[in-house]
Formats: sequence, C-alpha cells, structure tokens
Amino acid sequence: MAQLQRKTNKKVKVKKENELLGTLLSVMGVGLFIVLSWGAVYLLYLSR
Amino acid sequence: MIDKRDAKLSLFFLSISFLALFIGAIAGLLQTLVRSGTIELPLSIGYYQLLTAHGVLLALIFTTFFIVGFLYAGISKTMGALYDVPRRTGWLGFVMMTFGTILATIFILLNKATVLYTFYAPLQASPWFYVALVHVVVGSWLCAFSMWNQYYIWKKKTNNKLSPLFSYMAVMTMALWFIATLGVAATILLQFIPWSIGWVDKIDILISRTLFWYFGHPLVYFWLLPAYMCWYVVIPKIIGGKIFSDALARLAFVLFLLFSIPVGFHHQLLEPGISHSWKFFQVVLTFMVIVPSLMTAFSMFAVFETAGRKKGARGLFGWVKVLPWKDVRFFAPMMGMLIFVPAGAGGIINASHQLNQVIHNTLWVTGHFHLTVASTVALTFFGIAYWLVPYLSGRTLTPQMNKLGIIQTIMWTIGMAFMSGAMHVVGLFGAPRRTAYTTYSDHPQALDWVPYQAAMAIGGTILFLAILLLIYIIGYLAFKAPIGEMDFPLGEVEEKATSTPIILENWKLWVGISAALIFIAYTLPFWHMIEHGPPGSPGYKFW
Amino acid sequence: MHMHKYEKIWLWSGAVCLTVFLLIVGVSAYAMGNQPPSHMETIDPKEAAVTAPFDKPRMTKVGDQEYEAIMLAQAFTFTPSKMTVPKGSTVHFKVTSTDVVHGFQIPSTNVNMMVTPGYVSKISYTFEEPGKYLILCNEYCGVGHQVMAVTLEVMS
Ligand code: HEM
Ligand SMILES: [Cu+2]
Ligand SMILES: [Cu+2]
Repeated sequence: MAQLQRKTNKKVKVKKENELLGTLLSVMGVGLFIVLSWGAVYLLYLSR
Repeated sequence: MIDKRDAKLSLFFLSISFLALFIGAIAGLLQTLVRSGTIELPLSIGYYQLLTAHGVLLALIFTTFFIVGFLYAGISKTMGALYDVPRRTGWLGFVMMTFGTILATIFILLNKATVLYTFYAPLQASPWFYVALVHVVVGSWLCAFSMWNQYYIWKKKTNNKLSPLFSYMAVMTMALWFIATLGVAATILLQFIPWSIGWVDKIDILISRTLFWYFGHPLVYFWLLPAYMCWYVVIPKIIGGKIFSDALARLAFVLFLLFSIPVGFHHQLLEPGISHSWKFFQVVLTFMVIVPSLMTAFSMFAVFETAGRKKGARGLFGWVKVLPWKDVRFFAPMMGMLIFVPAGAGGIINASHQLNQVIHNTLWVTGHFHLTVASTVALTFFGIAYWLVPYLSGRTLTPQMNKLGIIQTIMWTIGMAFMSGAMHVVGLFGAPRRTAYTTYSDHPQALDWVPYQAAMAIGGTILFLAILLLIYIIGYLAFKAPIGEMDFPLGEVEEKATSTPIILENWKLWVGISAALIFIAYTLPFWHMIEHGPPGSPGYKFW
Repeated sequence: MHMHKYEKIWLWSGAVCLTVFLLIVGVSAYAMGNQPPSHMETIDPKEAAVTAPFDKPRMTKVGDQEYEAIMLAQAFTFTPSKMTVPKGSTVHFKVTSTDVVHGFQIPSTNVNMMVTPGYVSKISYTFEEPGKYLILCNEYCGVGHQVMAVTLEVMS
C-alpha cells in the first residue's frame, strides 16, 4: 500500500515538473541571447 | 480601498513623480534634437543644463517619488492603515523631498548647477544645489524610517507573524536605499558642502567619486526592486495565477541587499588610483548580483506557464497565447520584462572588466540605461500607475483608457527601439555620451555617427509623444474617470509551494552580512586613497 | 527551501556561464596583461603643468617602434594637439589633468580611460592601421566639452 502510494506520488511529481518545460526553454533562450551578445562584444574587443 | 489618508500621501508622491517625468521628458526631447544637429538651443539655455535637469528629474526624482508612493500604498494595503507616527513621518519626508526637488530645479534653471546629475568634483555647483540634494536624501530616509516603523509595530501587534510579501520587499528596498545613500550623503555633507561654501578650499576627487559610486550602483537596484515587486506580487494576480514561491522571492531580495552594494568599482574600472585587483574583486561580486535576476526570470516564466496551463493552454508554448495581452496592467510591465533581456545582457557586458574599455562613457551606456531604468522600470511603473492612480483616487480604469495605455506602451517600445538601438550601435563605434552636437572639425569618423544621432531624434520624438499620452491618461484617471472601486492586485502563494523559513526575516543577520561585504570590498582600497591621495582640487565653474 | 528541478538546471547553467565570463576576462587580465588602466602614481594638479615630464608635453621615440606620448588634458583641449607615428608603432600614453576630470578615448580602438586631476593615467596601444585617429574627451568637463579633441596620425 505504502509502496503504491509512493509510486503515484512519484508520478504526480514527474508530471508537475514537466509542466515547466516551456519555462526552462524560455529562460535558456534568454541565456543564449546573453551569451551571444557578450561574445559579440568580446570579439569586438579582441579585434581592436 | 486603503485608508483615505494613506491614499492621499501616496497620491502626493505620485504627482511630483509625474510632474518631474514631464519636465524631464521635455529636456530629453530637446537633447535628442540638439544631438542630431536639427536644432540649436537659444543662448539662454545650454545642452548640459538640459542634461543636468533631465538626469536629476528622471533618474533621481521621478523614480524616488514614484517608489515611495507605491510602497506606501502597498504597505497600507498589506499591513493595514499607517499608524500615526509612520504617517506623520511620511508627510515630513514628502515635504523635505519636495522642497529639495524645487530648490535643485531652480538652481539648475538658473545655470548655477550645470554639473550633471553625477556632480563630479571638481566642477563646483552652487552650495544650494548640494543642500537641495541633501533634502531629497534625508527626506527619503524619513520615509524609510516610517515604513520600518510601521513594519515593527505590525510585527509586535501580530505576535511576529510572517510579514506580507509586499511589505517585506518594501522594507528590504528601503534598507538597500538607506545603506546606499549613506555614501552619497557622506560625500555631500563632508566634502561638497564645506568646499562649495568655501570653508575648505580643496576636495579629494577620487574619494568623492568612490563615495558616489558606492551609492550609484545600488541606486539602480533601488529602481529595479519595486519593479520586481510588481512582477512577483502584482502580475500573478492580474494574469489569474499564483505567486511561484514566497520563499524564493524573499531570498532574491536578500541577495540583492547583499550583493548590490559592494560593487561600485565597476563604474570606476578605467580610472587611476584604484588597484586592478580590487576592481576585479568587485567585478566578481557584481556577477553574484546577477543570480537573483536569473531567479526572477525563472519565477516569472513559471508563473506565466502555470497560470496558462490552468486555463487549459496546451503544448510547449501554448501559455503565451492565453496571457492577458489586452490588459495594460499586464502588458506594460510585460514589455518592461522583455526589454530587460537586452538590458541585462548589456549590463553584464558593461561590468566585464576589460570589456568596459569598449563601451565606457560612450552612447552605448546611455542606450543601456534607457533600456533598464527608462524602459524596464519606467514601463513597469506606468503599468502600476494605470491601476494605482484610479485605485487611490476612487475611480476606475475604463476600457478606453486601457486601450490608450496599450498604445502608449507600444509607442514607448518603438521609440526606445529607435533611440536606444541607435545609441548602442553608435556607442560601439565610439561616439561619446554627455556631448552636445559636434563633428570634431568634420572628422570622418564623427561624421559617420550623424545618421545614428538622427535615429535617436526620431526615437526621442516618439517617446515624447508617448509621454504626452501618458500624462493625459494619468490626469484622466486621477480627475475624470468614473467613480468606482478598483482592485489592488495582490497575488497569493501557490498552495504547493514550500513554507517560508523565518531566517529570511532575520534583519540583523542580513544587514550584518551586507555590512561585512561592504567592509571587505571597500576598506583597504579606500584607506589607500586616503593615505596616498594627491593634494586636493579647488572648484571650477566651466559652464 | 525547495527548488524546482528546472530552476536548478537554469541557475547552474547561469552560474557556469558567468564563471566562464569571469575566467575569460580574468585570464586575459592576469595572464595576458590586459588590465584596465589602474595606474597609482599621483601628482599635484595645480603644479602638473610645471612638473616633469608634463612641463614638456610631447611624443618621443623610446625604442624600436615604440613611442611615449606625454599629454596634458585641460579644458578644452589636449596638448600636444598634433602627433604622428609610423604604422605598427606602440604608443604609451601618459596623461594628467590640470583642472577637472576628463576622459581619454580613441574611437575604434580599446584606448579608453579617465583622467583624474591628481593622478597620472597610463594606457598603451599598437596602431596597426594607418589613418587619422581622433583622441577625444568622453567625460563632461564644461561648456566646451564637445570640442575637446585632437588627432594622432598614423603614417603608412
Ligand atoms: C522622452 C523620453 C526620453 C528621451 C527623449 C531621453 C533622451 C535622452 C538623451 C538624448 C540623453 C543624453 C545623451 C547624452 O549623453 O548626451 C539622456 C540621458 C539620460 N536619460 Fe533620458 N530620455 C528619455 C527618458 C528618460 C527616462 C524616463 C529616464 C529615467 C527614468 C531617463 C534617464 C536618463 C539619464 C539618467 C540620463 C543620463 C544623464 C547624464 O548622462 O548625465 N531618460 N536621455
Ligand atoms: Cu553598476
Ligand atoms: Cu570633456
């Protein structure tokens, strides 16, 4: 019984976590933008 | 509706704020026109005089008055009507700050204080200008004391209950402000006032700059934190969601208190007299203060996604569509958040040690903070004002005004894309900031900058029209809109979220760590400046 | 305090990126000598114009393809106002101010520093491309700030 309970709990948890996949991808997009702009200005620095 | 007397106090702060915004925007428009070479100012007013007015009225007055007014409204909403002492102290603060604002504006208009809002020594303004600034700062301290007092009494009366999130953040914001302004108060009181009156004839420039920037960086977080308060606490309610995590929101604010102050050297990276290792040390601390903003980004998207899914949105990004894009209370702050992506990226670049050599004192920097304070923060404040002003004056936000607000936001975004975009690009080419129209005797490089300066003027014109629209909307909401009850949107915490550890309300601990970090980051280099400083400088009035 | 798994992933990637940025600028500064200008030498600003070497602002050859530019920043100009070096030269700029704070910037190079009265500011740069370079003041110093510029010619 307890085991079953744990199992379902686990399932619920996994589902809940997956709900934020859009969030993760969005913030990663933000991160990518930051890295690219930083890299661009760094290259400008190196080229001067 | 909150207590009428508190609503009045808040409205008074907001009125000065919008008045300053309006005058500052006129200066801003003229600046862009001058820099594009389109107009020449009449002899009676100079470019740098306008720029001083613009910087003081927008960066210092518009922001501070708005923030204090907003915090009072939210404190009264979440902790109940202000007690007598806090309210009276608040009015005293208002009177002092307003007096200081008027005095400073007069001396700027008289051309006796054309030293820009950073008032770098040894340019020397009239002593009255510095006295005026002291009034603004000390007045704001009274407001801080008053808010802390309210919090303290509330805590006592409720037997140390967990404070409401909004009020916790307000107390933290004012704590950050108080610790930060100690630096600027010290340089004004101990250096600028005695020197400009003539009691002493020399000033130590590097020390005054260091005290200024000890204040100057947390200043930008003082602008940002109230915007974050709107994002964390208000936005979830507007979009029909829940606060993602009360504990993480408080933790983010703690991290801002700790890491936003001991980092002022990142504004002084290119100056002599500070060793490069202390500069690098503060650069590392600067990078720490990026972390709470990364946390905020995640929280915001998480709130959006969770709320969207509850409304039945499907797919990875289905939740984007169900956000209330047509509600200006959401739309304006949301545009602010989106603009914070390039704004934040720019900030990281600025602070990256040698990368600062590429952009320091170029128009890139001006472009950068028109994204941060003049877009992210300003748009969020506009979004707040659209519901707060009618809420406080017992009126309602009509669908028509809502629509105008959306148009206003779009105009601001487009205007800023032109102005700030052009500033960023031409800044990378090397065009200096804080410089009237010039081609440096038709030097080919400077001539290449002119088209970008024209784009700045196009953007500036759109922005100015947007300000006119904003003032109309705010005026209508304050005096004309139909009488009615508005909602003060305050989010609730997600049920599943973990409870808030009480350590987050241990002020002694956090203020203590903050002080320790400041001592570590500043004591030795500051001591070196005093010990090995050069002879001071007399004052100059080169305008 | 519970944190969502994805938030942990996000914060850790953020932390790694920021550390990499710091490592790049740190290695460049400490291992390759690209420190931002942080010279510690002081001078009496009132006497600067009569103190050696600033009593004779000039460009001098100090080595093979190496030059030293001793310069004064004063409202609203730099002295000397015209300088020439051959292409490929490394120039060591040594600048101080006799009055207010000025800036010292050569657009489209990495030469950018503050000139604070009382301190001597130093920066070096190798000019590989010929041309007429603009040296301008990028810190507000008074009504004539926008005219404060001189040129440095790099001959091919
Ligand atoms: C109508 C909208 C606006 C326009 C057209 C505008 C335009 C400008 C321009 C052209 C400059 C100076 C460029 C130079 O360095 O020579 C400037 C500087 C500045 N602006 Fe704005 N701006 C606007 C709104 C704002 C707002 C809302 C804020 C802040 C909340 C703001 C804060 C500042 C600050 C702090 C400076 C720097 C002043 C200095 O360097 O001393 N601006 N703005
Ligand atoms: Cu900063
Ligand atoms: Cu200048």
